Amino acid sequence: MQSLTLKVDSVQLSFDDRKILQDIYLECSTGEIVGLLGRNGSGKSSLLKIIFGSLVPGFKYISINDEYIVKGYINNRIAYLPQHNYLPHGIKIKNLARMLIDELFWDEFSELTIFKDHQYKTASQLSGGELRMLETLMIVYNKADFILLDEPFTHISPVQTEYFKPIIKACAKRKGIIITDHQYYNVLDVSGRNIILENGCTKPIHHIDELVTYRYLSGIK
Amino acid sequence: MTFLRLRKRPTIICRIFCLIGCHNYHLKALILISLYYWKLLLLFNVACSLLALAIGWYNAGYIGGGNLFIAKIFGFAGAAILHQYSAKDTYYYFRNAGCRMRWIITVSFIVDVFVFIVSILFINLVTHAVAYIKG
Repeated sequence: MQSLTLKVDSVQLSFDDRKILQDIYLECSTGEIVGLLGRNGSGKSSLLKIIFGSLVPGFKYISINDEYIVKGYINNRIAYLPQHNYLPHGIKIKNLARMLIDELFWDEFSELTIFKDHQYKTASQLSGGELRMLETLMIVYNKADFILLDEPFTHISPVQTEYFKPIIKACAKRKGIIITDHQYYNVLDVSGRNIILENGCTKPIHHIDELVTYRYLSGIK
Repeated sequence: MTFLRLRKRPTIICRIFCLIGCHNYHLKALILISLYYWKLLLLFNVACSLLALAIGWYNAGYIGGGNLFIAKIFGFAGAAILHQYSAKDTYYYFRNAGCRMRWIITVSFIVDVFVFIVSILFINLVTHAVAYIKG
Protein backbone atom coordinates (compact mmCIF):
# COMPACT_ATOMS: atom_id res chain seq x y z
CA MET A 1 0.00 0.00 0.00
CA GLN A 2 1.30 3.45 -0.96
CA SER A 3 2.32 5.60 1.99
CA LEU A 4 0.55 8.96 2.12
CA THR A 5 1.53 12.10 3.99
CA LEU A 6 -0.86 14.81 5.05
CA LYS A 7 0.78 18.21 5.47
CA VAL A 8 -0.90 21.18 7.10
CA ASP A 9 1.01 24.43 6.89
CA SER A 10 0.57 28.20 7.33
CA VAL A 11 -2.98 28.08 8.63
CA GLN A 12 -4.26 31.49 9.67
CA LEU A 13 -7.57 31.82 11.44
CA SER A 14 -8.95 34.78 13.34
CA PHE A 15 -12.33 35.72 14.82
CA ASP A 16 -13.06 39.45 15.29
CA ASP A 17 -9.37 40.41 15.02
CA ARG A 18 -8.46 37.76 17.61
CA LYS A 19 -5.88 35.42 16.13
CA ILE A 20 -6.77 31.80 16.88
CA LEU A 21 -4.29 30.01 14.63
CA GLN A 22 -1.23 31.66 13.13
CA ASP A 23 1.86 29.45 13.02
CA ILE A 24 0.73 25.93 12.24
CA TYR A 25 2.75 23.07 10.89
CA LEU A 26 1.47 19.53 11.19
CA GLU A 27 2.42 16.38 9.37
CA CYS A 28 0.80 12.96 9.57
CA SER A 29 1.60 9.87 7.52
CA THR A 30 -0.42 6.72 7.06
CA GLY A 31 0.58 4.28 9.77
CA GLU A 32 0.95 6.82 12.56
CA ILE A 33 -1.22 8.43 15.23
CA VAL A 34 -0.56 12.08 16.04
CA GLY A 35 -1.93 13.40 19.34
CA LEU A 36 -3.05 17.03 19.36
CA LEU A 37 -3.26 18.64 22.78
CA GLY A 38 -4.13 22.12 23.94
CA ARG A 39 -6.19 24.05 26.43
CA ASN A 40 -9.84 25.01 25.92
CA GLY A 41 -10.18 27.60 23.16
CA SER A 42 -6.69 26.95 21.80
CA GLY A 43 -8.13 26.08 18.38
CA LYS A 44 -7.81 22.28 18.25
CA SER A 45 -11.32 21.68 16.90
CA SER A 46 -11.02 24.64 14.52
CA LEU A 47 -7.78 23.21 13.15
CA LEU A 48 -9.38 19.79 12.60
CA LYS A 49 -12.38 21.41 10.88
CA ILE A 50 -10.02 23.37 8.61
CA ILE A 51 -8.18 20.16 7.66
CA PHE A 52 -11.51 18.43 7.04
CA GLY A 53 -12.73 21.36 4.95
CA SER A 54 -15.83 22.46 6.86
CA LEU A 55 -14.24 25.66 8.20
CA VAL A 56 -12.62 28.18 5.87
CA PRO A 57 -9.63 30.04 7.35
CA GLY A 58 -7.95 33.24 6.12
CA PHE A 59 -5.14 31.15 4.66
CA LYS A 60 -4.12 27.50 4.60
CA TYR A 61 -1.93 25.04 2.78
CA ILE A 62 -3.10 21.44 3.07
CA SER A 63 -1.72 18.68 0.89
CA ILE A 64 -1.63 14.91 0.61
CA ASN A 65 1.61 13.72 -0.98
CA ASP A 66 2.18 17.34 -2.13
CA GLU A 67 -1.17 17.45 -3.93
CA TYR A 68 -3.08 20.53 -2.73
CA ILE A 69 -6.39 19.69 -1.05
CA VAL A 70 -9.21 22.25 -1.24
CA LYS A 71 -11.65 20.38 0.99
CA GLY A 72 -10.41 17.26 2.74
CA TYR A 73 -13.73 15.44 2.80
CA ILE A 74 -14.29 15.46 -0.98
CA ASN A 75 -13.86 11.97 -2.46
CA ASN A 76 -13.22 10.51 1.00
CA ARG A 77 -9.66 11.74 1.50
CA ILE A 78 -10.22 12.79 5.12
CA ALA A 79 -12.93 11.79 7.64
CA TYR A 80 -13.74 13.72 10.79
CA LEU A 81 -15.44 12.74 14.05
CA PRO A 82 -16.98 15.94 15.46
CA GLN A 83 -17.50 16.53 19.19
CA HIS A 84 -21.27 16.38 18.79
CA ASN A 85 -23.57 13.67 17.39
CA TYR A 86 -23.69 13.76 13.62
CA LEU A 87 -25.83 10.83 12.44
CA PRO A 88 -29.16 11.94 10.94
CA HIS A 89 -32.29 10.68 12.67
CA GLY A 90 -34.93 8.83 10.67
CA ILE A 91 -32.62 6.52 8.68
CA LYS A 92 -31.60 3.04 9.82
CA ILE A 93 -28.05 2.67 11.21
CA LYS A 94 -27.34 -0.10 8.67
CA ASN A 95 -28.13 2.19 5.72
CA LEU A 96 -26.15 5.07 7.21
CA ALA A 97 -23.15 2.80 7.85
CA ARG A 98 -23.08 1.48 4.28
CA MET A 99 -22.29 4.94 2.94
CA LEU A 100 -19.34 5.49 5.29
CA ILE A 101 -17.65 2.14 5.86
CA ASP A 102 -14.73 0.97 3.75
CA GLU A 103 -15.97 -2.08 1.84
CA LEU A 104 -12.72 -3.91 2.69
CA PHE A 105 -13.63 -3.72 6.37
CA TRP A 106 -17.40 -4.14 6.11
CA ASP A 107 -17.28 -7.77 7.27
CA GLU A 108 -15.19 -6.82 10.30
CA PHE A 109 -17.48 -3.87 11.08
CA SER A 110 -20.70 -5.83 10.63
CA GLU A 111 -19.46 -8.43 13.12
CA LEU A 112 -19.18 -5.84 15.91
CA THR A 113 -21.71 -6.57 18.65
CA ILE A 114 -22.86 -2.97 18.94
CA PHE A 115 -23.62 -2.83 15.21
CA LYS A 116 -25.41 -6.19 15.19
CA ASP A 117 -27.56 -5.12 18.13
CA HIS A 118 -28.61 -1.77 16.71
CA GLN A 119 -28.36 -1.99 12.91
CA TYR A 120 -32.14 -1.88 12.38
CA LYS A 121 -32.66 1.08 14.74
CA THR A 122 -32.41 4.77 13.96
CA ALA A 123 -30.11 7.23 15.75
CA SER A 124 -32.99 8.56 17.87
CA GLN A 125 -33.64 5.07 19.30
CA LEU A 126 -30.13 4.75 20.77
CA SER A 127 -28.73 6.00 24.07
CA GLY A 128 -26.10 8.76 24.01
CA GLY A 129 -23.24 6.32 24.75
CA GLU A 130 -24.35 3.75 22.16
CA LEU A 131 -24.76 6.43 19.51
CA ARG A 132 -21.33 7.91 20.27
CA MET A 133 -19.70 4.47 20.02
CA LEU A 134 -21.33 3.75 16.67
CA GLU A 135 -20.45 7.20 15.33
CA THR A 136 -16.80 6.76 16.36
CA LEU A 137 -16.63 3.27 14.85
CA MET A 138 -18.16 4.50 11.58
CA ILE A 139 -15.39 7.09 11.31
CA VAL A 140 -12.61 4.68 12.31
CA TYR A 141 -13.77 2.16 9.66
CA ASN A 142 -14.32 4.95 7.08
CA LYS A 143 -12.95 4.78 3.53
CA ALA A 144 -10.79 7.88 4.10
CA ASP A 145 -6.99 7.71 4.22
CA PHE A 146 -6.80 10.13 7.15
CA ILE A 147 -9.01 10.18 10.20
CA LEU A 148 -9.49 13.17 12.50
CA LEU A 149 -10.90 12.27 15.91
CA ASP A 150 -12.18 15.17 18.01
CA GLU A 151 -12.73 14.01 21.59
CA PRO A 152 -13.43 10.32 20.87
CA PHE A 153 -13.07 9.37 24.57
CA THR A 154 -15.52 11.96 25.86
CA HIS A 155 -19.07 10.78 26.75
CA ILE A 156 -18.05 7.12 26.86
CA SER A 157 -17.26 4.92 29.85
CA PRO A 158 -13.69 3.85 30.80
CA VAL A 159 -14.45 0.28 29.69
CA GLN A 160 -15.50 1.52 26.26
CA THR A 161 -12.38 3.72 26.11
CA GLU A 162 -10.22 0.64 26.66
CA TYR A 163 -12.27 -1.14 23.95
CA PHE A 164 -11.60 1.67 21.45
CA LYS A 165 -7.85 1.99 21.93
CA PRO A 166 -6.83 -1.27 20.18
CA ILE A 167 -9.34 -0.55 17.38
CA ILE A 168 -7.79 2.89 16.82
CA LYS A 169 -4.27 1.41 16.91
CA ALA A 170 -5.26 -1.30 14.40
CA CYS A 171 -6.83 1.34 12.15
CA ALA A 172 -3.58 3.33 12.24
CA LYS A 173 -1.75 0.49 10.50
CA ARG A 174 -3.49 1.47 7.25
CA LYS A 175 -4.47 5.13 7.87
CA GLY A 176 -3.09 8.30 9.38
CA ILE A 177 -4.91 9.47 12.51
CA ILE A 178 -4.92 12.82 14.27
CA ILE A 179 -6.55 12.59 17.67
CA THR A 180 -7.44 15.22 20.25
CA ASP A 181 -9.08 14.81 23.65
CA HIS A 182 -8.85 16.36 27.11
CA GLN A 183 -8.23 12.87 28.50
CA TYR A 184 -4.55 13.44 27.63
CA TYR A 185 -3.41 10.15 29.19
CA ASN A 186 -5.58 8.24 26.70
CA VAL A 187 -4.23 10.35 23.83
CA LEU A 188 -0.63 9.77 24.99
CA ASP A 189 -1.40 6.06 25.28
CA VAL A 190 -2.50 5.61 21.66
CA SER A 191 -0.39 8.23 19.88
CA GLY A 192 3.10 7.79 18.52
CA ARG A 193 3.86 11.51 18.33
CA ASN A 194 2.32 14.51 20.07
CA ILE A 195 1.85 18.17 19.31
CA ILE A 196 0.54 20.94 21.52
CA LEU A 197 -1.35 24.01 20.35
CA GLU A 198 -0.15 27.03 22.31
CA ASN A 199 -1.00 30.65 21.40
CA GLY A 200 -2.09 29.55 17.93
CA CYS A 201 1.20 27.74 17.23
CA THR A 202 1.98 24.03 17.03
CA LYS A 203 4.86 22.77 19.15
CA PRO A 204 6.14 19.18 19.23
CA ILE A 205 6.06 17.36 22.55
CA HIS A 206 8.98 15.01 23.13
CA HIS A 207 8.45 14.41 26.84
CA ILE A 208 5.43 14.59 29.12
CA ASP A 209 7.22 17.24 31.26
CA GLU A 210 6.82 19.68 28.39
CA LEU A 211 3.05 19.65 28.97
CA VAL A 212 3.78 21.38 32.29
CA THR A 213 6.19 23.80 30.60
CA TYR A 214 3.46 24.79 28.14
CA ARG A 215 1.01 25.13 31.09
CA TYR A 216 -1.27 22.41 29.76
CA LEU A 217 -0.80 20.49 33.00
CA SER A 218 -0.25 22.03 36.42
CA GLY A 219 1.97 19.13 37.44
CA ILE A 220 2.62 15.43 36.92
CA LYS A 221 1.65 12.98 39.66
CA MET B 1 -19.50 0.34 -4.05
CA THR B 2 -20.29 -0.95 -0.58
CA PHE B 3 -23.98 -0.19 -0.71
CA LEU B 4 -24.40 -1.95 -3.99
CA ARG B 5 -22.14 -4.95 -3.42
CA LEU B 6 -23.15 -5.92 0.05
CA ARG B 7 -26.78 -6.65 -0.61
CA LYS B 8 -27.44 -10.19 -1.76
CA ARG B 9 -30.53 -9.06 -3.69
CA PRO B 10 -30.12 -5.81 -5.64
CA THR B 11 -32.43 -2.98 -4.58
CA ILE B 12 -34.65 -1.01 -6.96
CA ILE B 13 -32.06 1.81 -6.87
CA CYS B 14 -29.28 -0.66 -7.83
CA ARG B 15 -31.39 -1.90 -10.73
CA ILE B 16 -32.00 1.68 -11.91
CA PHE B 17 -28.24 2.39 -11.77
CA CYS B 18 -27.55 -0.69 -13.90
CA LEU B 19 -30.36 0.23 -16.29
CA ILE B 20 -29.05 3.74 -16.94
CA GLY B 21 -25.48 2.45 -17.14
CA CYS B 22 -24.29 4.45 -14.14
CA HIS B 23 -21.02 2.84 -12.99
CA ASN B 24 -19.25 5.90 -11.60
CA TYR B 25 -18.57 5.25 -7.92
CA HIS B 26 -18.72 8.88 -6.74
CA LEU B 27 -21.83 9.64 -8.79
CA LYS B 28 -23.65 6.64 -7.30
CA ALA B 29 -22.61 7.70 -3.81
CA LEU B 30 -23.80 11.25 -4.49
CA ILE B 31 -27.19 10.07 -5.78
CA LEU B 32 -27.73 7.68 -2.86
CA ILE B 33 -26.69 10.20 -0.23
CA SER B 34 -28.90 12.84 -1.90
CA LEU B 35 -31.86 10.46 -1.66
CA TYR B 36 -31.21 10.13 2.08
CA TYR B 37 -31.10 13.92 2.39
CA TRP B 38 -34.31 14.26 0.35
CA LYS B 39 -35.98 11.70 2.64
CA LEU B 40 -34.92 13.69 5.71
CA LEU B 41 -36.40 16.86 4.20
CA LEU B 42 -39.67 15.24 3.11
CA LEU B 43 -41.89 16.32 6.01
CA PHE B 44 -40.57 19.92 6.02
CA ASN B 45 -40.74 19.90 2.23
CA VAL B 46 -44.42 18.89 2.01
CA ALA B 47 -45.37 21.33 4.78
CA CYS B 48 -43.47 24.27 3.22
CA SER B 49 -44.79 23.47 -0.28
CA LEU B 50 -48.41 23.39 0.97
CA LEU B 51 -47.85 26.66 2.84
CA ALA B 52 -46.35 28.31 -0.26
CA LEU B 53 -49.24 26.95 -2.35
CA ALA B 54 -51.80 28.33 0.12
CA ILE B 55 -50.12 31.76 0.06
CA GLY B 56 -50.04 31.67 -3.78
CA TRP B 57 -53.71 30.66 -3.96
CA TYR B 58 -54.67 33.39 -1.44
CA ASN B 59 -52.85 36.09 -3.46
CA ALA B 60 -53.72 34.96 -7.01
CA GLY B 61 -57.12 33.40 -6.34
CA TYR B 62 -56.42 30.27 -8.38
CA ILE B 63 -53.96 27.34 -8.61
CA GLY B 64 -52.21 27.05 -11.96
CA GLY B 65 -49.13 25.20 -13.21
CA GLY B 66 -46.93 28.27 -12.58
CA ASN B 67 -48.21 28.62 -9.02
CA LEU B 68 -47.54 24.96 -8.34
CA PHE B 69 -43.98 25.14 -9.62
CA ILE B 70 -43.17 28.31 -7.69
CA ALA B 71 -44.69 26.73 -4.55
CA LYS B 72 -42.45 23.70 -5.13
CA ILE B 73 -39.31 25.85 -5.39
CA PHE B 74 -40.20 27.86 -2.26
CA GLY B 75 -41.23 24.66 -0.47
CA PHE B 76 -37.88 22.96 -1.11
CA ALA B 77 -35.89 26.09 -0.27
CA GLY B 78 -37.87 26.56 2.96
CA ALA B 79 -37.34 22.91 3.93
CA ALA B 80 -33.60 23.10 3.24
CA ILE B 81 -33.27 26.29 5.34
CA LEU B 82 -35.33 24.80 8.19
CA HIS B 83 -33.21 21.64 8.10
CA GLN B 84 -30.03 23.70 8.15
CA TYR B 85 -31.17 25.51 11.30
CA SER B 86 -32.52 22.44 13.07
CA ALA B 87 -30.04 19.73 12.06
CA LYS B 88 -26.86 21.35 10.77
CA ASP B 89 -24.75 18.93 12.83
CA THR B 90 -25.85 16.09 10.54
CA TYR B 91 -24.05 17.77 7.62
CA TYR B 92 -20.90 16.07 8.95
CA TYR B 93 -22.46 12.72 8.07
CA PHE B 94 -22.95 13.77 4.44
CA ARG B 95 -19.46 15.26 4.26
CA ASN B 96 -17.93 12.10 5.74
CA ALA B 97 -19.60 10.25 2.87
CA GLY B 98 -17.35 12.34 0.58
CA CYS B 99 -19.88 14.80 -0.88
CA ARG B 100 -20.27 18.58 -0.82
CA MET B 101 -23.56 19.81 0.68
CA ARG B 102 -24.05 22.06 -2.36
CA TRP B 103 -24.07 19.01 -4.68
CA ILE B 104 -26.34 17.04 -2.37
CA ILE B 105 -28.89 19.87 -2.16
CA THR B 106 -28.80 20.31 -5.97
CA VAL B 107 -29.34 16.60 -6.68
CA SER B 108 -32.09 16.45 -4.01
CA PHE B 109 -33.84 19.38 -5.67
CA ILE B 110 -33.69 17.63 -9.06
CA VAL B 111 -35.15 14.48 -7.44
CA ASP B 112 -37.82 16.60 -5.76
CA VAL B 113 -38.86 18.28 -9.02
CA PHE B 114 -38.90 14.90 -10.78
CA VAL B 115 -41.13 13.37 -8.09
CA PHE B 116 -43.34 16.48 -8.20
CA ILE B 117 -43.80 16.29 -12.00
CA VAL B 118 -44.52 12.54 -11.86
CA SER B 119 -47.07 13.14 -9.06
CA ILE B 120 -48.81 15.91 -11.03
CA LEU B 121 -48.96 13.71 -14.17
CA PHE B 122 -50.33 10.82 -12.13
CA ILE B 123 -52.99 13.00 -10.45
CA ASN B 124 -53.98 14.41 -13.88
CA LEU B 125 -54.19 10.92 -15.32
CA VAL B 126 -56.37 9.67 -12.45
CA THR B 127 -58.63 12.78 -12.64
CA HIS B 128 -59.14 12.28 -16.38
CA ALA B 129 -59.76 8.56 -15.95
CA VAL B 130 -62.38 9.19 -13.26
CA ALA B 131 -64.06 11.86 -15.43
CA TYR B 132 -64.05 9.47 -18.43
CA ILE B 133 -65.54 6.62 -16.40
CA LYS B 134 -68.25 8.94 -15.03
CA GLY B 135 -68.96 9.98 -18.62
